[in-house]
Amino acid sequence: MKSKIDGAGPPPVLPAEPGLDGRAPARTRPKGRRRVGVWLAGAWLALVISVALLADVLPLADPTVNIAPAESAPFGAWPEFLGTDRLGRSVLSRLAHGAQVSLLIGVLATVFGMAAGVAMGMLSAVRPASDFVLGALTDSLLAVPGVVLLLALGATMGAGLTPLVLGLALYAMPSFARLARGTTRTVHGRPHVQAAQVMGAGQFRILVREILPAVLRPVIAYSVVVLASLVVAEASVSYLGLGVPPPTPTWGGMISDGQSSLDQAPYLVLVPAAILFITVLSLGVLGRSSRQGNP
Amino acid sequence: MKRLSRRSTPALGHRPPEQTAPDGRPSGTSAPLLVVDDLATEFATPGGPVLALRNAGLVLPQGRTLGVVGESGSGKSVLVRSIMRLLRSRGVRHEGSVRFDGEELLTASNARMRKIWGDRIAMVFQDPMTTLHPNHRIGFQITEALREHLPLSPDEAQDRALRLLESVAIPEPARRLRQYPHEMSGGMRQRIVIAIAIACAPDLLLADEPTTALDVTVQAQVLDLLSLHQSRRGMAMILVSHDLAVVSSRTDELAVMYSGQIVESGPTAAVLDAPLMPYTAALLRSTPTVDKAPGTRLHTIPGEPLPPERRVTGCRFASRCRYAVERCLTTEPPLAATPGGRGYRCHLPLDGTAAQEALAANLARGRTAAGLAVTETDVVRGA
Amino acid sequence: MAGTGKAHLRSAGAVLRAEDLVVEFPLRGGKRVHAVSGVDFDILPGETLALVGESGSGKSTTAKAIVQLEKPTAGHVHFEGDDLTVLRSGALRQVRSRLQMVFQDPIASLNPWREVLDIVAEPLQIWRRGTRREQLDAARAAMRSVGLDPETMGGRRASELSGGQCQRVSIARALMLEPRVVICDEPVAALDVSVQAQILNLLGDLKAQLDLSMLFISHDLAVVRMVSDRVMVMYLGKICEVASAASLYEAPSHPYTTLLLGSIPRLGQAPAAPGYGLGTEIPSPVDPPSGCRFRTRCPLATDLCTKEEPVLKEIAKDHYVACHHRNQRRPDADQR
Repeated sequence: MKSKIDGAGPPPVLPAEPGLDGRAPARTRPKGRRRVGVWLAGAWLALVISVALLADVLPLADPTVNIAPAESAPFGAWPEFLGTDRLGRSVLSRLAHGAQVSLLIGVLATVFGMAAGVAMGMLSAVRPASDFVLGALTDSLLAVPGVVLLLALGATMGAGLTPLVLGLALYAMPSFARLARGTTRTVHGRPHVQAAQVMGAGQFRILVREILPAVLRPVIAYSVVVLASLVVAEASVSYLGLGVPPPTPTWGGMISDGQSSLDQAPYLVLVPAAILFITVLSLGVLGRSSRQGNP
Repeated sequence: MKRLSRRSTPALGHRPPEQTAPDGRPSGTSAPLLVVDDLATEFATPGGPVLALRNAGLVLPQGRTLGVVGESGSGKSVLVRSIMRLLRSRGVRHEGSVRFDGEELLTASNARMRKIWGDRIAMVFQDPMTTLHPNHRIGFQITEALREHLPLSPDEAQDRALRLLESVAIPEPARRLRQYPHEMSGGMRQRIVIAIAIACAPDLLLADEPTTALDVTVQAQVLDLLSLHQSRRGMAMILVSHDLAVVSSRTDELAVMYSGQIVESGPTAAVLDAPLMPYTAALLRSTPTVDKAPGTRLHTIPGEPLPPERRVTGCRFASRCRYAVERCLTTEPPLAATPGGRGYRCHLPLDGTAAQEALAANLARGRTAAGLAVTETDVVRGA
Repeated sequence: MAGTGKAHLRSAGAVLRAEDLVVEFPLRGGKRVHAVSGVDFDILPGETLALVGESGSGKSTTAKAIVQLEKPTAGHVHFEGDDLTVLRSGALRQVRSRLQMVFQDPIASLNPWREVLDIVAEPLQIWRRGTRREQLDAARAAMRSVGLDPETMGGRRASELSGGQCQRVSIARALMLEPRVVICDEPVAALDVSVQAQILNLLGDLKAQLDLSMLFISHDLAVVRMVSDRVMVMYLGKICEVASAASLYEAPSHPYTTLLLGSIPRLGQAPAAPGYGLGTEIPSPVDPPSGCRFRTRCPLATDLCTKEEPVLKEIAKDHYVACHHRNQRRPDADQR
């Protein structure tokens, strides 16, 4: 059945033996409350993402057009269920379309920052020369406060989606680079990487095939946390008036607009702020649970 | 203290303890120090329960040495940890009994176990850092262990610690007491662990692969040290190893484990001389030694060890055994005992004619009942 | 740095030859770890040279220095006419297909994210030999040759295999490029006894079939005896003794070799206490002893051993020892 060299495969797989007394095993599972939290967070994010994706087809008012008297209170009739802002535009519609913009900016910036950071980090881990240059670059980026970085970029490139995404990506890149560099250095000494070297694999192939999968696990878990912080960062920048120019709605822009009438219509600040808060919190919960999943 | 003749009658085997000691103290032998009866240990894992140890039985009189040999996954570490009650956590279940000096350990309270640990039963692990704390000086760790169980003043404890280090052949003991574990080599650390283990003169020492992480020259020293203290203090010892050769020269009794079971046991010399279980025989032949001629082909055991959680109807070794017949696949071999104090789990013990007939039949067919290919050369080559 | 002599090098025909190999690692504070301090050896076609020593002897560092995973501080590695220590990375890659390595940790030396068949085919993919179909066919054949069934095993990942099976995969992969020399770094140290024997026999069979040369690194003289033609004993970065396997086991001549052999536990025999080296352990390679590095554990050590480093000398046919007190030719040397 087998070759002469004793290579008998494993014995046939048989059903697992029941316990000593046939009882089901006591499985260790995470605490129930944390599970509920993860489910709630996932459900909220699913809602936000689907509303953002479907904002154009949902029966919502045009977010840039006045539909009702300014600052009409919430819980009115559809479509001004959440009231209207200073210019009489539907808050609900602006929130939905704002989710689109805010999340798009957050996701794009996270993806760009992650791609650039991982590439830089992995490269600097295996090339001493680039390590020096890239190390100095990431350190100086980390030393500049994020808002200052975005202000500088906004001042040179003007306000708009592209400089905002680029700025936020640049802001997120150093921490990805550090994470990728650390993981790469750990994995680089493993026997399977040395085996690939001995086989004559080139450095690019080794980085992609042997090391990248190990780097991606912590990086992806971390990216959820970064996404949360970038959504907040976008809101901060829009709040300062450096974000996407009006009339395009973003969550941060809405909070910024609303503050001028904070005493007459506090919901104009509170509603988008609450939505932003819950979304960021949900991302944090998911990020933490995914990191626990991949120790 | 309890210095007893080391040459008392061997009383190790799968027999229930009643047979060994009907009235507790038969003439010429002492009551067994440790009696393990039908011990099973099960772990709950995400993939379902894993029965890591089953039907384990052994009897160890005071002052004697038992070697436990097996490959990874054979359950040898689970056996000693179960005896030591180190596995009492969520998801671990024991069945059977472990009686130490007449006291049932499986149901003993944690407070009671803490009295027994160190004082009556001590353990030496494969990795000395399991025992040693990295951030405390050696001297503190030894005196702490001493004062836990003995009414000693700090000075007395310090003095005792110094003498303990001398007794485990550590050069410059006074300086070593002030050092941290990381300042020492692996062999030195293992000596310290042995010093701590014997500090309170326990009755039973469990040594789980004490030399596996050490170099061969250091291994010999550490094993010598263990044997020396064991015989000098009349301790009973269980020496666990994957290496038959390590265990063979330093134990009175031997238990061979395979896939969660003790498959053969008896006086060490007798088991090595004429193993009854084909697994023991195959293990003996596949062990590389310096006594065989260079370039000799090693006898191999085909296939891979059976994981202990795998369920089989017959003998757990049948899939790899060259003697296997139909009965080995359908009926689990019961425990058998010989008058010489040996025990085995096999339908075809190698001292009988049935084994030779089965092998001849398998050779004629070219395969065993389990479908394993056997050829004349396989059998001749390693024999 | 003074080497330990080159008397044991053969004049010609070696497929791999290391000369004056030195590997040192700098530490903080200007100190250095002297891992390998002037090692010479050669391997003839079809020969298995075993490199034996305890942890800290520098045997694994030697292996890594040979394949240039660790850049030697000094010395040369000649392999089929090239000096690997001076080759640029592109040329070194070309050589690597003919110089392969099997590592100690069987599971960790396989890419955990890829299937076994893919891992075995990878060397061909790197070297762009044949079509994808041909590569996979060759990988299947290689798996069969090491006793693995490609149909049932090929789709698994390393974590789903046992240690012995992983080591078979490693061996199959190392042989895909038809190397001249395979370096095995403790290939069976992590395996169970019964599986160890399978792998040792497999290596022996493959070596005979393929006319391979092997550098077999191990801490275990008993394992080495089964596979090697020639044995080299290392201690603290230096060679103590080189001899044909038969001669070394029959008449170990360096006190360290005697200690090593005497320390091996033997089945059913009372432990043979070597009577020395007790209570002492291998000194730190950061600050090795002067003269003979073994002198701190040696029963024969004299002042001469402190002052002067012994050089390898032939004491019998193809039996070389670096020891001041064992440098006479044995009387029976000429009859061998």
